[in-house]
Amino acid sequence: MTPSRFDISISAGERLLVDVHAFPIQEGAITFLFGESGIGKSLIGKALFGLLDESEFRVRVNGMSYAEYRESAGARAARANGFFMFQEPSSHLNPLLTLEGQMKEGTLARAPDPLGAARELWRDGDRGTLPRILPVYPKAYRPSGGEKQRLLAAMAFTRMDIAFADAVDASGEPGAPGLFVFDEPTGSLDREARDRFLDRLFARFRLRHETILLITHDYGMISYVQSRHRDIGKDYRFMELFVSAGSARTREFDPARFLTWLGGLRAEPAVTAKKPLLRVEGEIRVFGRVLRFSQPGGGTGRDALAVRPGELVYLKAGSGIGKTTVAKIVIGLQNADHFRLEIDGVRLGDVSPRQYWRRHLWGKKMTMAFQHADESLNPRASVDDTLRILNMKTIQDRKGVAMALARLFDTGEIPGLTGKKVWQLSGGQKQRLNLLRAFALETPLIILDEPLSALDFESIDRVLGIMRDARVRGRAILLISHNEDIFDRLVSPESVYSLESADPSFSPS
Amino acid sequence: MQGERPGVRIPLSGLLAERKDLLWGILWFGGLALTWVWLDVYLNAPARILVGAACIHTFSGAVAAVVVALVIGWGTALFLHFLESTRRRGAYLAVSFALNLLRSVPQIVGMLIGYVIVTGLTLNEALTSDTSLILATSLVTALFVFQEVVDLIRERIRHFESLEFVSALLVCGIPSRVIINREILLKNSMPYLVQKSVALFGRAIFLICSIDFIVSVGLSAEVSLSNLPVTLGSMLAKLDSKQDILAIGTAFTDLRVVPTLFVEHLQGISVAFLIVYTLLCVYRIANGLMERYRL
Repeated sequence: MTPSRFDISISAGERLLVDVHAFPIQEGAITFLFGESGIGKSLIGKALFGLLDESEFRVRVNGMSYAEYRESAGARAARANGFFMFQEPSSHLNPLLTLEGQMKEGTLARAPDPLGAARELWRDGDRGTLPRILPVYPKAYRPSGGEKQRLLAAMAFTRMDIAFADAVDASGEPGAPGLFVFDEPTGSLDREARDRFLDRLFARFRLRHETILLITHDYGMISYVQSRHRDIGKDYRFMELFVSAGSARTREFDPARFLTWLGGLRAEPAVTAKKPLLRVEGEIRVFGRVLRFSQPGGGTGRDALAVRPGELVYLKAGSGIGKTTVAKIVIGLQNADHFRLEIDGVRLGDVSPRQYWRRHLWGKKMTMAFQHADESLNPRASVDDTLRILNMKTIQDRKGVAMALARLFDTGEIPGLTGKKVWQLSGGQKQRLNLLRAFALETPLIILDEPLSALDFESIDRVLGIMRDARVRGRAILLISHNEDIFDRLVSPESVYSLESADPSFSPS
Repeated sequence: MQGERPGVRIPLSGLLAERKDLLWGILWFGGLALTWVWLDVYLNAPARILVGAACIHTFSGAVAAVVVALVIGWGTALFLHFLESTRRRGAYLAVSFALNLLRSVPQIVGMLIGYVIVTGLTLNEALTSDTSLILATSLVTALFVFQEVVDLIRERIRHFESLEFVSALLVCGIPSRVIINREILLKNSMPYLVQKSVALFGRAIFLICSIDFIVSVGLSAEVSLSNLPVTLGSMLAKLDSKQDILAIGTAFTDLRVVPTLFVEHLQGISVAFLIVYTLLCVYRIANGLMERYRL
């Protein structure tokens, strides 16, 4: 890890995936790496940490073969004294060991208080949910994605604490620095939890300047970091990965660009005059919990969520409360013990036949773009098929598909794109296609679950433009997102709803 | 699921080593061609024509059985899915019971019963041409193998229904039939269906040859193997072929017989070889497909 600039090339077979030159990883500094999902950010992190499989990828780092790089003193120290927090927490955690066991496993056991860092990341410390999830063997659905992410971040922090203690105790030369890679560490966290993570990270960084690579597509971090930690601005930098000529390259990202853009966002006036297209009554009982809506901005809806034609309604809640569950109940994919809603004058509830949604609502009055584009698109379908299956008059042929794609894709990107299979697309391209499919249907109500995830800055701006166009054409949008930095500015306070769990044993963390 | 890796181009030299299905397919066709050349040189014309006809009837019968099994299996799976998803529990249980009853009949026994029916139809002159007889026996074969297709298709539908992309298509207003047939089965299950078809092709050849051999004693006073289209199984049951097979046993005790096996006893030995070699190759092709697509 000693060199501060890295030339990294990663190929799979004949295909050059990543080709970055002079990528700056300054020792003792934090490097934020932004960019669209699926274009190679994680590959760079794994390559630097020495995690890539040579049977799958051909890797060269600073002119060295990957084997040479991995065995270099710097790379070995980076691994030995550092930590890699994987993007997908479920793949990081051992399903055969309790979470508490994993928090105290290996070198982490050397920490005087291996659970201390975890307590810092929970709002209610060790009195709330943390003690309840520690004895759990991790499964895909339990604990929640946000809870898993915090536990992994806590492991990384504990590793940092150990490195700090070692450095303090050392009588002679300080130990070789490690590399701490955080790959999308806050993807499942709400803003409050994300900010707490950043604060704890910077608090440790101020004690000992570790080398940190933080990979994310959450540009909202910029505003928080710039507002809270600007005093050490020389110790962190923002980089962006982008695709050029088929391979990924890096460039410096000017935070002022994002902050200026963010500052320019203006909330559109709330729509109150029209009759709601969707009205969800204020108590939903599901999975043994009672979920209720509130309006922090003081709207008139009281305990019911109402979405009017032409309105953008923003539903937010802490991680794991059940925002997506509510969306799935509204769209008719998930039943609940109790719920009542009214859509376009028709009352529906937990006893309503599922066939009603299928026959009268799906694709006609409402649709939904799911959170994970990776999972919500058919990987074996082509881009062309994905849009043409909608059977819309405007998307009957290649020209229509190209016109639809042009709303979110660069003109130069489209010719090679239409015939591509979904599995060949980057994460960001999948997300854009996922959103385009939902908007192409032109249904009166569109539910968007985390529409900005996996997108780069330019794509975020375009997606907001499409949302604005849809609203102008009278479409109602129910939005679920962690991107509070953006949507708190964009959505009128009267249209912001908060989802809360009335279960006393459950508290957002 | 599927075995392709993005961006990885397989060098031509390693293609056959990596794609065992292709390798065994080439070996099969090569073996058949070589056998035919050998028979052309050493086997008398009437017997050679008979072996050729037996091959064509057996393989075309097996292909027809696979096609019929796919059609019946696909239709039955969709019908069961429809009954299940629309909560028609009585009809669903009745169809499931009927299928399980059919499943409980041993394939050989079931096919023998089917052949008795085919014999009856032949006696009544309802089936007269070779083609109609081959199709009828293929239908009998298909009836006792199609449930594998039903199981496969239902498993694929169940698997994909638990994935989000099916829900995402549903809320876009795409009809279930389109999602199941096009998005799940055609786009995401082709390697599975091809592998199953190849395996069924081997199973059909085995069953056709076994049954034809078993019924070589004749099905009635009027209908016997001499009335039914000649197949590899019925060829094997002919007296000449049996003597050729017995010659193999003689070769173990009298080595002087060995050279004559491949020139004087060709009918029986080549038929036996074609059956065993085809079953081996088809088995390897099916396994190769499983490996290639990681099924």
